[in-house]
Amino acid sequence: MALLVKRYNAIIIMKTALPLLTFCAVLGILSGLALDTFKNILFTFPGLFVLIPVTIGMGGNLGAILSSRITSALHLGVISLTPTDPVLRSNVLGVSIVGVLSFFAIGILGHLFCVLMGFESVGLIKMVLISSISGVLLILIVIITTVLAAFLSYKKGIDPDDTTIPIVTSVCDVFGILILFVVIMAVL
Amino acid sequence: MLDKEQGAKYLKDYVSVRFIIKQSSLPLLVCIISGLFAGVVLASMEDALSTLPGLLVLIPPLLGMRGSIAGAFGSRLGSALHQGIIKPDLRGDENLVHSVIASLGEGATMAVVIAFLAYAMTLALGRECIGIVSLAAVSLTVWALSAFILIGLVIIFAFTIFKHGIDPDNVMGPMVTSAGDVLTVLAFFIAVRIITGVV
Repeated sequence: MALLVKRYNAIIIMKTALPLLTFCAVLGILSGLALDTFKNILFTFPGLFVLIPVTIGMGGNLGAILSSRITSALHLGVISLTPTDPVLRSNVLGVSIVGVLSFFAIGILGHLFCVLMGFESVGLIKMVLISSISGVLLILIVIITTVLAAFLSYKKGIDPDDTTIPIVTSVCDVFGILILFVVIMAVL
Repeated sequence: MLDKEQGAKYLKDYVSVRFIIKQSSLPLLVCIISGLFAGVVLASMEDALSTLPGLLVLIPPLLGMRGSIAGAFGSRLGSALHQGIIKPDLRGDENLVHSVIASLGEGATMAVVIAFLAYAMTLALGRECIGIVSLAAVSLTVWALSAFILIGLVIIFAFTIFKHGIDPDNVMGPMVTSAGDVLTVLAFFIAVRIITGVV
């Protein structure tokens, strides 16, 4: 039988979570301010709105997949932070492939959604270019952030399960919007 | 402990690129469709977003916050079910009640914190922003309209898949963020309608 009967306490859970959540909120607001900076482009081509939640979300999701795989491998002791490590390489490669395919699909489907709903789209080719190029850049950021956060936490003796996902999703919130609009301005 | 054969298979899966792609494509497809749907709802709010400065600033933190809070709730529920701390039934288990209260409390607190910080940071950059009362009202309304439904969905989903013997850890993450994005954007749409109706 269970020797340790764990009890959850709402106040303790909240006290632990609120500082990290506030930090995430500040990063989220920075991302919102970046969005606000580019509002003229957005209001000229409202179809670009369609790309915003999905770009932020995909960065976070790819980061979550990669970080849960790396942290599990760290716990099992089957991975090391060297460029030649086979487990690290195949996980990075796998996430890069699904990531690139996903962002390509987002470009095509995003244009389709715009046309179906009657929003001003920037056109299929430009939509796919914007989504794919910003996707590749975002995937690079996801990989670097995830690998560093996971290994640094592990070295410092902090459980990477608790740190990596919130760090990666918050970083993706900010960089997702910035990268998206730098690419939009370059492509348009 | 894994025996030798299981361990070898596990390690093989870990270095198999094909395995990673196969396992993650379906959850990612769900995320793509729900994310694009959320984007369509935002695009349809273009008029309100262009006439009410400051609302745009709220969108990324509100989306992110719903994902962080519900995501943490989902993974706590997953671990608690595994360890038998929470039983998969709805008869007012004390640990479940505390987790739900914590999650709702975090949401309400952060709704207010986000509104104040967004207001302060927007003004600090010398940009226009609607009043703090309207901004906080939108943020809190989004919480009220989305948090309870999302928590309910997460509980029902976690209990159902746990009873069917599926590991909640593998499916909760994408499900929670996708449902959270869609619910938050829909709540944002309704909240802005209400506030513009009143103001």
